[in-house]
Amino acid sequence: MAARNQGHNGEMAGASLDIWERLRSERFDPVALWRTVGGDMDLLRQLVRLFADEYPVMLKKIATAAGSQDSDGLRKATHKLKGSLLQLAAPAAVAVAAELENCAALNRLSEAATLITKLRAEADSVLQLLQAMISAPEAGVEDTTEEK
Amino acid sequence: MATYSSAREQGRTLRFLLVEDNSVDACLVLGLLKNHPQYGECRHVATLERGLAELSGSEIDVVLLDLNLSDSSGYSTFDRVRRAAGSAAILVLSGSDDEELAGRTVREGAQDYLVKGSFDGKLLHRAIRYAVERKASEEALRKSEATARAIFENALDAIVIFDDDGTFLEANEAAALLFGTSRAELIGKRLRDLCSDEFETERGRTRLFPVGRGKFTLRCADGKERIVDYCFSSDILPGRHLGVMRDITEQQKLEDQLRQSQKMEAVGRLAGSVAHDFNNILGVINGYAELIELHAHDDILRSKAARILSATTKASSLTKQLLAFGRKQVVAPVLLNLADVISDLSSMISCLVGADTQIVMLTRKTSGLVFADQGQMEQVLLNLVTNAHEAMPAGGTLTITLDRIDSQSVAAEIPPGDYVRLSVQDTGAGVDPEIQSRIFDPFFTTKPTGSGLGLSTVFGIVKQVGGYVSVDSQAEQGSVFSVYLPLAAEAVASQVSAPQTEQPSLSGEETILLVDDEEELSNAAAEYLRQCGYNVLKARAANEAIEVSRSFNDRIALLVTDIVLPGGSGRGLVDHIQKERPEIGVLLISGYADDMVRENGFGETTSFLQKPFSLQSLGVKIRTILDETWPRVSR
Repeated sequence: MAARNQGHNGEMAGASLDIWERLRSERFDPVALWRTVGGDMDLLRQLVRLFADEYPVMLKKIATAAGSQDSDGLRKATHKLKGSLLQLAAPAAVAVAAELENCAALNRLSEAATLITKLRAEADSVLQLLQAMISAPEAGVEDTTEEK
Repeated sequence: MATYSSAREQGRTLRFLLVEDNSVDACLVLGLLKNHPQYGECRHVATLERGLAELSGSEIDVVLLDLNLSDSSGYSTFDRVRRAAGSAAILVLSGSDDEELAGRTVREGAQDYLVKGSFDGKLLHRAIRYAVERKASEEALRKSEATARAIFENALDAIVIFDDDGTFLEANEAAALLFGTSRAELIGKRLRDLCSDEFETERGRTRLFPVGRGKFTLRCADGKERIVDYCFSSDILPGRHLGVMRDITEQQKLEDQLRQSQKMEAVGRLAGSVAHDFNNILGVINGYAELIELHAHDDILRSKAARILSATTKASSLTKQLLAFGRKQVVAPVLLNLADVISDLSSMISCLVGADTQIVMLTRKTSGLVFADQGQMEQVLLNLVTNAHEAMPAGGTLTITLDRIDSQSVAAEIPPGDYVRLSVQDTGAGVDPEIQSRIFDPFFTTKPTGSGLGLSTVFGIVKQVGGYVSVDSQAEQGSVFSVYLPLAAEAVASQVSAPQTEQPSLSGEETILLVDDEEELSNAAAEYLRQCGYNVLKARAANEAIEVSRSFNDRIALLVTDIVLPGGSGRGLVDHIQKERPEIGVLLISGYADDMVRENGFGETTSFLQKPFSLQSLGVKIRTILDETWPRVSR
């Protein structure tokens, strides 16, 4: 498992663990994310890179849909971003996305602008946290076997 | 569909299709799948349409499906993939933690529903493995169910599923047909309400056994009863029992009819056999009575001998009727006045129908002559009378009519011409119009003890002589069975009774080899023939006859032999003697009928005299054969 650099059960050793523990908050759970990727640092980096590229595009779609009063488009676009945030273990951002998705489903578009602003801020924070996570020293030292 | 373990055993990897339009989510899933030893290629598409195209063109084991795509969302995404997925397992990967949606997709065929963010690699692998195994089981179950359903729906036998109480839970079309109702009507009904009590008893007894078989009577919706062959299997599922029923009513009826026919056949054979033995005895009595009559010096003795001969003639008539019953009579068509046949059988008809039935005879002696065998005509009459009598179990009036008709005067489809019509009418219940077309079918009977052969025999005989049969019947007004026989000649007494040729002389000097194991009969015949001037050589068995023939150096003009002989058959004897004496004439005698003559390989041209015969008729027959074979001038 060449790409696998760390134990997938979230066990981290040394400095990484300490840093990730510091990063852990209601906004982001690096340990959970590490478990999700199965301890694969390459995969994690790839995900972060993709998220960095994609979420601005997704937010733009959300804003466009809200601007054009397209509740269904808003709901779908928000749902998509929410999916990514779920995978990235970002509960606070997920909660905002879910609220926005719910508003869209109920056609309460007046609340959308505020929630979009909030969601953008949360997504930006998540990206910073993700980058901090993959930049942690000694990250990617250990290897463990994977479930077959 | 490969199971997870079978794929591993076969060294085959699973093929995936990931339908996901979120590149972050797709990246995660693809990353988790990579490098797994049992996972092969994973195709990734972002739209439903492309996903469906992949499913139709590639072999996929597992579909990983996001429900919300750019071209489809929610349950409909799953529904369309489900229809196209075939044997591929479907794992829904959704951003919606929606219990209702999750439950619905799993209920409708998804093997699992995972919420994004809630699964890691380990959980995903386990979900994939279980999904594949579950799908394989479902596929096997689906095939098994489809097979069972197809059998259930298409079976010609009635199949029912019932509960512990005997209430129908399921029934196939054949069951509905058997019970004479619809499937919907049948569901909810109880077996005990539709079956005879014997079935409930039987079911109670067999409930202790897991499987079993039986026969019982079924009450159909129309009130009719059917006999069914039944097998059951208890508790195919808890509280669900299987019953398979086959309608064997017709089969049972045919079996009963066959048994009855065989019984009648046996009775017929017995009658024929009794008649044969009786004929031999009559032959002896007749022979010696004739000899007494021939040699009597006083009128008293001659008169007594004549009475004996008269009695034997009557007895002979009885044996003939027995042979007719056993269908062993000789078939020899002659010009026949049916009025005489009816008259001859009148006493027997009276005995047959009993005192509670009044017999009315409306016969015209001048109805005309038919060309038919007397024995067969007797059989036709007796069968019709028997049929009429059985139609009136409580008695009634039986009318026998004989007249002549022009075919144009009857409604029946009979070719133009003059016919002698013999009708037998009863005052019974009549024949149901529905079965009138079948009553002449062999083995068809409405009587519990009937053989189904009586009317079919009538039909066969009448057809054989170029005639027709019809039935005219109305409910509760009785039936008239009419036999139409082509008129062969006018009923002029001389045509019937006058001999065809001049009575030949009975005397002769030729040598005759007489072979019969009935010694008394043989003695009487030999004595008579010697008195006629013949040289008679006697033998009691085939071997003895051959010996006698070989030791006699002069010409033997005629071999007179019984067909059944001790130590060999008449056929073997005739062949043997004719090989050594090609010029010898042959006269067969037997208490059996021409059936036996043919069964023994003799052609219809072979001369035959049925026992009992008068010595005078023997003398006439012998002289006729000899004159044809050995004209006296050449002797």
